Amino acid sequence: MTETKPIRNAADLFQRIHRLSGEAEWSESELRELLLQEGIDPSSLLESVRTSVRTLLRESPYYWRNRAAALRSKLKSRVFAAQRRQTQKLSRKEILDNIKTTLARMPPDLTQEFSVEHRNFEACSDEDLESILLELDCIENLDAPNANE
Amino acid sequence: MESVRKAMAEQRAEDLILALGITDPNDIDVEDIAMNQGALVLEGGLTGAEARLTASPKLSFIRINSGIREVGRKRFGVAHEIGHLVLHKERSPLEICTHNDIVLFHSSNEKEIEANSFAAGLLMPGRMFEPPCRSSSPSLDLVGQLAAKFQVTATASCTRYIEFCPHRCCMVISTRGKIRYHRRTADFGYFLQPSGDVRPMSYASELFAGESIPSGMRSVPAEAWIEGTSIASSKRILEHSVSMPSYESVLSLLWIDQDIDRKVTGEDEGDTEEEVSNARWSWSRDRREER
Repeated sequence: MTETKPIRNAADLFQRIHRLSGEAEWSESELRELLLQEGIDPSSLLESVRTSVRTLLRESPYYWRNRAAALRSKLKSRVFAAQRRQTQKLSRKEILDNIKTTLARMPPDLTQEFSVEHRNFEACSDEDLESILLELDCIENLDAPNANE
Repeated sequence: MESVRKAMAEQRAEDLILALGITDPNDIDVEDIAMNQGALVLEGGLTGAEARLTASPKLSFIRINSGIREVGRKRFGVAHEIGHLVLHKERSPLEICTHNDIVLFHSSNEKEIEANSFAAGLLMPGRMFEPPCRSSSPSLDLVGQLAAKFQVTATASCTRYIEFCPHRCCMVISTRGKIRYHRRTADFGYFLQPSGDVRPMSYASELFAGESIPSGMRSVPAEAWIEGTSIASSKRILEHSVSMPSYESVLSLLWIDQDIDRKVTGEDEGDTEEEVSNARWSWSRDRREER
Protein backbone atom coordinates (compact mmCIF):
# COMPACT_ATOMS: atom_id res chain seq x y z
CA MET A 1 0.00 0.00 0.00
CA THR A 2 1.33 3.39 -0.96
CA GLU A 3 1.78 5.77 1.92
CA THR A 4 0.46 9.21 1.04
CA LYS A 5 2.77 12.03 2.04
CA PRO A 6 1.03 15.24 3.04
CA ILE A 7 1.11 18.06 0.47
CA ARG A 8 2.74 21.08 2.07
CA ASN A 9 2.25 23.75 -0.54
CA ALA A 10 1.25 24.46 -4.16
CA ALA A 11 4.77 23.74 -5.46
CA ASP A 12 4.65 20.38 -3.77
CA LEU A 13 1.29 19.66 -5.34
CA PHE A 14 2.33 20.58 -8.87
CA GLN A 15 5.61 18.63 -8.51
CA ARG A 16 3.60 15.60 -7.60
CA ILE A 17 1.23 16.05 -10.56
CA HIS A 18 4.22 16.58 -12.86
CA ARG A 19 5.94 13.48 -11.57
CA LEU A 20 2.80 11.39 -11.96
CA SER A 21 2.04 12.58 -15.47
CA GLY A 22 5.68 12.22 -16.53
CA GLU A 23 5.89 8.58 -15.55
CA ALA A 24 3.72 7.23 -18.35
CA GLU A 25 1.02 8.09 -20.79
CA TRP A 26 -2.10 8.04 -18.72
CA SER A 27 -5.64 8.01 -19.79
CA GLU A 28 -7.83 10.62 -18.12
CA SER A 29 -9.53 8.06 -15.90
CA GLU A 30 -6.20 6.45 -14.93
CA LEU A 31 -4.74 9.82 -14.03
CA ARG A 32 -7.83 10.71 -12.08
CA GLU A 33 -7.61 7.44 -10.14
CA LEU A 34 -3.92 7.86 -9.47
CA LEU A 35 -4.37 11.41 -8.25
CA LEU A 36 -7.04 10.17 -5.87
CA GLN A 37 -4.64 7.46 -4.61
CA GLU A 38 -2.08 10.20 -3.99
CA GLY A 39 -4.62 12.09 -1.91
CA ILE A 40 -5.45 14.69 -4.55
CA ASP A 41 -9.09 15.17 -5.50
CA PRO A 42 -8.96 16.24 -9.18
CA SER A 43 -12.39 17.91 -9.07
CA SER A 44 -11.53 20.00 -6.00
CA LEU A 45 -8.17 20.85 -7.53
CA LEU A 46 -9.78 22.00 -10.75
CA GLU A 47 -12.37 24.08 -8.93
CA SER A 48 -9.70 25.59 -6.69
CA VAL A 49 -7.56 26.53 -9.72
CA ARG A 50 -10.61 28.00 -11.49
CA THR A 51 -11.55 30.04 -8.42
CA SER A 52 -7.98 31.33 -8.09
CA VAL A 53 -7.88 32.28 -11.78
CA ARG A 54 -11.24 34.05 -11.49
CA THR A 55 -10.09 35.95 -8.40
CA LEU A 56 -6.79 36.92 -10.00
CA LEU A 57 -8.59 38.04 -13.14
CA ARG A 58 -11.11 40.14 -11.30
CA GLU A 59 -8.41 41.83 -9.27
CA SER A 60 -6.04 42.39 -12.17
CA PRO A 61 -5.85 45.92 -13.60
CA TYR A 62 -5.43 44.24 -17.00
CA TYR A 63 -8.79 42.48 -16.79
CA TRP A 64 -10.98 44.01 -19.51
CA ARG A 65 -13.75 44.91 -17.11
CA ASN A 66 -11.41 46.72 -14.70
CA ARG A 67 -9.75 48.54 -17.57
CA ALA A 68 -13.12 49.54 -18.98
CA ALA A 69 -14.35 50.82 -15.61
CA ALA A 70 -11.16 52.82 -15.02
CA LEU A 71 -11.24 54.32 -18.51
CA ARG A 72 -14.93 55.15 -18.24
CA SER A 73 -14.40 56.98 -15.00
CA LYS A 74 -11.46 58.94 -16.42
CA LEU A 75 -13.28 59.87 -19.63
CA LYS A 76 -16.48 60.83 -17.87
CA SER A 77 -14.65 63.27 -15.63
CA ARG A 78 -13.07 64.74 -18.74
CA VAL A 79 -16.45 65.09 -20.46
CA PHE A 80 -17.98 66.75 -17.40
CA ALA A 81 -15.02 69.14 -17.19
CA ALA A 82 -15.53 70.07 -20.85
CA GLN A 83 -19.24 70.49 -20.16
CA ARG A 84 -18.49 72.92 -17.35
CA ARG A 85 -16.34 74.95 -19.75
CA GLN A 86 -19.33 75.33 -22.10
CA THR A 87 -20.91 77.99 -19.93
CA GLN A 88 -21.93 80.33 -22.71
CA LYS A 89 -25.34 79.61 -24.20
CA LEU A 90 -24.88 79.47 -27.95
CA SER A 91 -27.50 79.94 -30.61
CA ARG A 92 -28.28 77.06 -32.95
CA LYS A 93 -26.35 78.76 -35.74
CA GLU A 94 -23.34 79.25 -33.45
CA ILE A 95 -23.40 75.60 -32.38
CA LEU A 96 -23.54 74.45 -35.99
CA ASP A 97 -20.72 76.86 -36.92
CA ASN A 98 -18.63 75.57 -34.02
CA ILE A 99 -19.22 71.98 -35.09
CA LYS A 100 -18.08 72.84 -38.61
CA THR A 101 -15.03 74.75 -37.30
CA THR A 102 -14.06 71.88 -35.01
CA LEU A 103 -14.41 69.42 -37.87
CA ALA A 104 -12.27 71.63 -40.08
CA ARG A 105 -9.51 71.64 -37.45
CA MET A 106 -9.42 67.86 -37.16
CA PRO A 107 -7.11 65.63 -39.16
CA PRO A 108 -8.70 64.21 -42.34
CA ASP A 109 -9.00 60.67 -40.97
CA LEU A 110 -11.16 62.00 -38.17
CA THR A 111 -13.18 64.50 -40.19
CA GLN A 112 -14.15 61.72 -42.57
CA GLU A 113 -15.89 60.17 -39.62
CA PHE A 114 -17.71 63.37 -38.77
CA SER A 115 -19.43 64.52 -41.86
CA VAL A 116 -22.37 66.71 -40.95
CA GLU A 117 -24.37 65.19 -43.76
CA HIS A 118 -26.60 63.03 -41.69
CA ARG A 119 -30.17 62.08 -42.31
CA ASN A 120 -31.35 63.48 -39.01
CA PHE A 121 -28.76 66.15 -38.51
CA GLU A 122 -30.94 69.14 -39.32
CA ALA A 123 -33.72 67.67 -37.22
CA CYS A 124 -31.47 67.52 -34.13
CA SER A 125 -32.59 69.62 -31.20
CA ASP A 126 -30.24 72.33 -29.85
CA GLU A 127 -29.45 70.03 -26.92
CA ASP A 128 -28.51 67.25 -29.34
CA LEU A 129 -26.22 69.60 -31.27
CA GLU A 130 -24.60 70.88 -28.06
CA SER A 131 -23.77 67.33 -27.00
CA ILE A 132 -22.33 66.57 -30.45
CA LEU A 133 -20.13 69.65 -30.12
CA LEU A 134 -19.06 68.51 -26.66
CA GLU A 135 -18.18 65.05 -27.95
CA LEU A 136 -16.17 66.54 -30.83
CA ASP A 137 -14.37 68.77 -28.37
CA CYS A 138 -13.49 65.76 -26.19
CA ILE A 139 -12.27 63.73 -29.16
CA GLU A 140 -10.22 66.64 -30.47
CA ASN A 141 -8.56 67.15 -27.10
CA LEU A 142 -7.94 63.50 -26.27
CA ASP A 143 -4.27 63.76 -27.21
CA ALA A 144 -3.77 67.25 -25.82
CA PRO A 145 -0.82 67.59 -23.39
CA ASN A 146 -3.12 68.52 -20.51
CA ALA A 147 -5.67 65.83 -21.36
CA ASN A 148 -4.89 63.88 -18.23
CA GLU A 149 -5.95 66.67 -15.97
CA MET B 1 -30.87 36.67 -47.05
CA GLU B 2 -32.14 38.92 -44.28
CA SER B 3 -32.26 36.00 -41.87
CA VAL B 4 -28.64 35.14 -42.68
CA ARG B 5 -27.53 38.69 -41.94
CA LYS B 6 -29.53 38.69 -38.71
CA ALA B 7 -27.99 35.36 -37.68
CA MET B 8 -24.50 36.65 -38.46
CA ALA B 9 -25.10 39.81 -36.42
CA GLU B 10 -26.33 37.74 -33.52
CA GLN B 11 -23.34 35.42 -33.81
CA ARG B 12 -20.96 38.40 -33.68
CA ALA B 13 -22.55 39.42 -30.39
CA GLU B 14 -22.35 35.92 -28.97
CA ASP B 15 -18.70 35.68 -30.04
CA LEU B 16 -18.00 38.92 -28.22
CA ILE B 17 -19.65 37.61 -25.05
CA LEU B 18 -17.56 34.45 -25.33
CA ALA B 19 -14.34 36.37 -25.97
CA LEU B 20 -14.97 38.50 -22.89
CA GLY B 21 -15.41 35.35 -20.79
CA ILE B 22 -18.96 36.25 -19.72
CA THR B 23 -20.87 33.24 -18.48
CA ASP B 24 -23.51 34.82 -16.27
CA PRO B 25 -26.29 37.20 -17.39
CA ASN B 26 -25.50 39.42 -14.38
CA ASP B 27 -22.07 40.09 -15.87
CA ILE B 28 -23.47 41.54 -19.11
CA ASP B 29 -22.67 45.15 -18.27
CA VAL B 30 -23.33 47.09 -21.47
CA GLU B 31 -21.35 50.15 -20.36
CA ASP B 32 -18.24 48.05 -19.74
CA ILE B 33 -18.70 46.19 -23.02
CA ALA B 34 -19.17 49.48 -24.89
CA MET B 35 -15.99 50.86 -23.34
CA ASN B 36 -14.17 47.68 -24.24
CA GLN B 37 -15.22 48.41 -27.83
CA GLY B 38 -14.04 52.03 -27.54
CA ALA B 39 -17.32 53.78 -26.76
CA LEU B 40 -18.20 55.84 -23.70
CA VAL B 41 -21.85 55.63 -22.69
CA LEU B 42 -23.46 58.87 -21.53
CA GLU B 43 -27.01 59.58 -20.54
CA GLY B 44 -28.72 62.84 -21.51
CA GLY B 45 -27.87 65.54 -24.01
CA LEU B 46 -30.20 63.87 -26.48
CA THR B 47 -33.84 64.70 -27.04
CA GLY B 48 -34.50 64.13 -30.72
CA ALA B 49 -33.80 60.41 -30.68
CA GLU B 50 -33.68 57.36 -28.45
CA ALA B 51 -29.94 56.78 -28.79
CA ARG B 52 -27.01 58.10 -30.75
CA LEU B 53 -23.65 56.75 -31.73
CA THR B 54 -20.88 59.20 -32.49
CA ALA B 55 -18.12 57.04 -33.87
CA SER B 56 -14.51 57.97 -34.28
CA PRO B 57 -11.30 55.98 -34.54
CA LYS B 58 -10.08 57.49 -31.26
CA LEU B 59 -13.13 57.37 -29.08
CA SER B 60 -16.82 56.84 -29.72
CA PHE B 61 -19.80 58.06 -27.74
CA ILE B 62 -23.09 56.33 -27.17
CA ARG B 63 -25.75 58.67 -25.85
CA ILE B 64 -29.03 57.48 -24.44
CA ASN B 65 -32.04 59.70 -24.09
CA SER B 66 -32.47 60.43 -20.38
CA GLY B 67 -36.25 60.31 -20.80
CA ILE B 68 -36.13 56.52 -21.07
CA ARG B 69 -37.17 55.11 -17.73
CA GLU B 70 -36.89 51.35 -18.13
CA VAL B 71 -33.46 49.85 -17.51
CA GLY B 72 -34.18 47.16 -20.10
CA ARG B 73 -34.87 49.71 -22.81
CA LYS B 74 -31.73 51.68 -21.97
CA ARG B 75 -29.63 48.54 -22.07
CA PHE B 76 -31.15 47.55 -25.40
CA GLY B 77 -30.42 51.02 -26.78
CA VAL B 78 -26.77 50.80 -25.74
CA ALA B 79 -26.43 47.25 -27.07
CA HIS B 80 -28.03 48.35 -30.36
CA GLU B 81 -25.44 51.14 -30.77
CA ILE B 82 -22.61 48.73 -29.90
CA GLY B 83 -24.05 46.65 -32.74
CA HIS B 84 -23.61 49.56 -35.16
CA LEU B 85 -20.09 50.10 -33.86
CA VAL B 86 -19.06 46.47 -34.29
CA LEU B 87 -20.97 45.59 -37.45
CA HIS B 88 -21.11 48.70 -39.56
CA LYS B 89 -17.63 49.99 -40.05
CA GLU B 90 -18.67 51.78 -43.22
CA ARG B 91 -21.36 53.67 -41.44
CA SER B 92 -22.73 57.11 -41.93
CA PRO B 93 -20.64 59.04 -39.44
CA LEU B 94 -23.31 59.98 -36.94
CA GLU B 95 -25.71 57.22 -36.10
CA ILE B 96 -28.86 58.60 -34.55
CA CYS B 97 -31.43 55.97 -33.80
CA THR B 98 -35.05 56.82 -33.32
CA HIS B 99 -37.37 54.92 -31.03
CA ASN B 100 -38.74 52.93 -33.93
CA ASP B 101 -35.27 51.81 -34.96
CA ILE B 102 -34.58 50.38 -31.55
CA VAL B 103 -37.85 48.67 -30.80
CA LEU B 104 -37.30 45.15 -32.03
CA PHE B 105 -40.37 44.74 -34.16
CA HIS B 106 -40.50 48.11 -35.89
CA SER B 107 -37.26 48.29 -37.75
CA SER B 108 -37.26 48.21 -41.47
CA ASN B 109 -33.79 49.52 -42.26
CA GLU B 110 -31.42 46.62 -42.86
CA LYS B 111 -28.67 48.01 -40.61
CA GLU B 112 -31.11 48.73 -37.83
CA ILE B 113 -32.44 45.18 -37.99
CA GLU B 114 -28.88 43.85 -37.79
CA ALA B 115 -28.12 46.12 -34.83
CA ASN B 116 -31.25 44.81 -33.11
CA SER B 117 -30.22 41.21 -33.73
CA PHE B 118 -26.78 42.02 -32.34
CA ALA B 119 -28.38 43.60 -29.26
CA ALA B 120 -30.57 40.53 -28.70
CA GLY B 121 -27.53 38.24 -28.97
CA LEU B 122 -25.48 40.44 -26.66
CA LEU B 123 -28.08 40.83 -23.92
CA MET B 124 -29.65 37.37 -24.22
CA PRO B 125 -26.92 35.01 -25.48
CA GLY B 126 -28.41 31.79 -26.79
CA ARG B 127 -26.34 29.50 -24.63
CA MET B 128 -27.66 31.24 -21.49
CA PHE B 129 -31.16 32.05 -22.69
CA GLU B 130 -32.12 28.87 -24.53
CA PRO B 131 -31.99 26.22 -21.74
CA PRO B 132 -34.78 27.70 -19.58
CA CYS B 133 -36.92 28.20 -22.72
CA ARG B 134 -36.63 24.52 -23.54
CA SER B 135 -37.23 23.18 -20.05
CA SER B 136 -40.42 25.05 -19.10
CA SER B 137 -43.96 25.31 -20.40
CA PRO B 138 -44.79 28.51 -22.29
CA SER B 139 -46.07 31.37 -20.15
CA LEU B 140 -45.54 35.07 -19.73
CA ASP B 141 -44.41 34.32 -16.17
CA LEU B 142 -41.39 32.56 -17.64
CA VAL B 143 -40.89 35.44 -20.09
CA GLY B 144 -41.02 37.86 -17.14
CA GLN B 145 -38.51 35.84 -15.14
CA LEU B 146 -36.16 35.81 -18.11
CA ALA B 147 -36.66 39.56 -18.59
CA ALA B 148 -35.65 40.14 -14.96
CA LYS B 149 -32.69 37.77 -15.14
CA PHE B 150 -31.32 39.29 -18.35
CA GLN B 151 -32.40 42.86 -17.51
CA VAL B 152 -34.34 43.38 -20.71
CA THR B 153 -37.91 44.47 -21.45
CA ALA B 154 -40.73 41.95 -21.47
CA THR B 155 -41.12 42.53 -25.21
CA ALA B 156 -37.45 41.83 -25.93
CA SER B 157 -37.55 38.75 -23.69
CA CYS B 158 -40.70 37.44 -25.38
CA THR B 159 -39.30 38.03 -28.87
CA ARG B 160 -36.19 36.08 -27.95
CA TYR B 161 -38.27 33.42 -26.24
CA ILE B 162 -40.11 32.72 -29.48
CA GLU B 163 -36.76 31.97 -31.16
CA PHE B 164 -36.01 29.14 -28.74
CA CYS B 165 -39.47 27.96 -27.71
CA PRO B 166 -39.96 24.26 -28.55
CA HIS B 167 -43.78 24.61 -28.61
CA ARG B 168 -46.20 26.04 -31.17
CA CYS B 169 -46.33 29.59 -29.85
CA CYS B 170 -46.90 33.11 -31.08
CA MET B 171 -46.32 36.44 -29.32
CA VAL B 172 -48.66 39.28 -30.15
CA ILE B 173 -48.37 42.97 -29.35
CA SER B 174 -51.63 44.83 -29.64
CA THR B 175 -52.03 48.55 -29.19
CA ARG B 176 -55.32 50.34 -28.61
CA GLY B 177 -57.27 47.25 -29.61
CA LYS B 178 -55.36 46.51 -32.82
CA ILE B 179 -52.80 43.80 -33.49
CA ARG B 180 -49.59 45.65 -34.14
CA TYR B 181 -47.04 42.88 -34.44
CA HIS B 182 -46.73 39.16 -34.03
CA ARG B 183 -43.88 36.69 -34.13
CA ARG B 184 -44.38 32.95 -34.37
CA THR B 185 -42.37 29.82 -33.81
CA ALA B 186 -41.54 28.09 -37.08
CA ASP B 187 -44.19 25.40 -36.55
CA PHE B 188 -47.01 27.67 -35.34
CA GLY B 189 -48.64 27.21 -38.70
CA TYR B 190 -51.06 30.16 -38.77
CA PHE B 191 -50.92 33.83 -39.56
CA LEU B 192 -52.59 36.55 -37.59
CA GLN B 193 -54.20 39.36 -39.46
CA PRO B 194 -51.74 42.28 -39.34
CA SER B 195 -53.38 45.48 -38.06
CA GLY B 196 -56.56 43.54 -37.43
CA ASP B 197 -58.79 44.24 -34.46
CA VAL B 198 -58.24 42.23 -31.31
CA ARG B 199 -61.26 39.95 -31.27
CA PRO B 200 -63.81 40.14 -28.46
CA MET B 201 -63.37 36.45 -27.69
CA SER B 202 -59.78 36.97 -26.52
CA TYR B 203 -58.57 37.86 -23.05
CA ALA B 204 -56.55 40.69 -24.61
CA SER B 205 -59.80 42.40 -25.62
CA GLU B 206 -60.97 42.25 -22.01
CA LEU B 207 -57.77 43.96 -20.90
CA PHE B 208 -58.40 46.70 -23.47
CA ALA B 209 -61.90 47.01 -22.04
CA GLY B 210 -60.33 47.65 -18.63
CA GLU B 211 -61.47 44.36 -17.16
CA SER B 212 -59.28 42.20 -14.95
CA ILE B 213 -58.53 38.71 -16.17
CA PRO B 214 -57.21 35.60 -14.44
CA SER B 215 -53.45 35.24 -14.67
CA GLY B 216 -51.68 32.46 -16.51
CA MET B 217 -52.41 30.52 -19.66
CA ARG B 218 -56.16 30.29 -20.31
CA SER B 219 -58.14 28.39 -22.91
CA VAL B 220 -59.84 30.41 -25.67
CA PRO B 221 -61.42 29.38 -28.97
CA ALA B 222 -58.72 29.13 -31.63
CA GLU B 223 -60.73 31.55 -33.75
CA ALA B 224 -60.26 34.24 -31.09
CA TRP B 225 -56.84 34.73 -32.62
CA ILE B 226 -56.35 32.70 -35.73
CA GLU B 227 -58.42 31.73 -38.69
CA GLY B 228 -58.19 29.56 -41.71
CA THR B 229 -59.96 26.78 -43.44
CA SER B 230 -57.72 24.22 -41.80
CA ILE B 231 -58.79 25.03 -38.24
CA ALA B 232 -61.48 22.96 -36.71
CA SER B 233 -64.02 25.48 -35.44
CA SER B 234 -64.54 23.95 -32.01
CA LYS B 235 -60.84 23.83 -31.25
CA ARG B 236 -59.20 25.85 -28.53
CA ILE B 237 -55.78 27.29 -27.92
CA LEU B 238 -54.15 28.82 -24.84
CA GLU B 239 -53.65 32.55 -24.29
CA HIS B 240 -51.72 34.44 -21.64
CA SER B 241 -52.10 38.20 -21.87
CA VAL B 242 -50.73 41.03 -19.75
CA SER B 243 -51.42 44.72 -19.96
CA MET B 244 -48.63 47.22 -20.67
CA PRO B 245 -50.46 50.41 -19.70
CA SER B 246 -47.53 52.78 -20.36
CA TYR B 247 -47.69 51.79 -24.01
CA GLU B 248 -51.49 51.35 -24.20
CA SER B 249 -50.64 47.85 -25.29
CA VAL B 250 -51.22 44.23 -24.40
CA LEU B 251 -48.61 41.51 -24.72
CA SER B 252 -50.10 38.10 -25.48
CA LEU B 253 -48.51 34.69 -25.73
CA LEU B 254 -50.53 32.11 -27.65
CA TRP B 255 -49.86 28.39 -27.40
CA ILE B 256 -51.34 25.71 -29.64
CA ASP B 257 -51.08 22.89 -27.12
CA GLN B 258 -53.24 20.39 -28.99
CA ASP B 259 -53.98 19.38 -32.54
CA ILE B 260 -56.31 22.04 -33.92
CA ASP B 261 -55.68 21.39 -37.58
CA ARG B 262 -58.66 20.11 -39.48
CA LYS B 263 -58.05 16.69 -40.94
CA VAL B 264 -59.33 15.83 -44.40
CA THR B 265 -61.98 13.64 -42.83
CA GLY B 266 -62.10 15.62 -39.62
CA GLU B 267 -64.96 15.93 -37.16
CA ASP B 268 -65.62 19.56 -38.03
CA GLU B 269 -65.60 19.19 -41.76
CA GLY B 270 -69.35 19.51 -41.98
CA ASP B 271 -69.65 22.57 -39.73
CA THR B 272 -72.18 25.01 -41.04
CA GLU B 273 -72.05 28.74 -40.47
CA GLU B 274 -74.81 28.35 -37.90
CA GLU B 275 -72.80 25.75 -35.99
CA VAL B 276 -69.82 28.09 -35.96
CA SER B 277 -71.86 30.89 -34.44
CA ASN B 278 -73.28 28.50 -31.90
CA ALA B 279 -69.75 27.57 -30.97
CA ARG B 280 -69.00 31.25 -30.35
CA TRP B 281 -72.12 31.56 -28.22
CA SER B 282 -71.20 28.45 -26.23
CA TRP B 283 -67.76 29.81 -25.67
CA SER B 284 -69.16 33.02 -24.15
CA ARG B 285 -71.36 30.96 -21.91
CA ASP B 286 -68.43 28.74 -20.89
CA ARG B 287 -66.39 31.79 -20.03
CA ARG B 288 -69.14 33.11 -17.79
CA GLU B 289 -69.34 29.74 -16.06
CA GLU B 290 -65.59 29.68 -15.57
CA ARG B 291 -65.73 32.78 -13.35
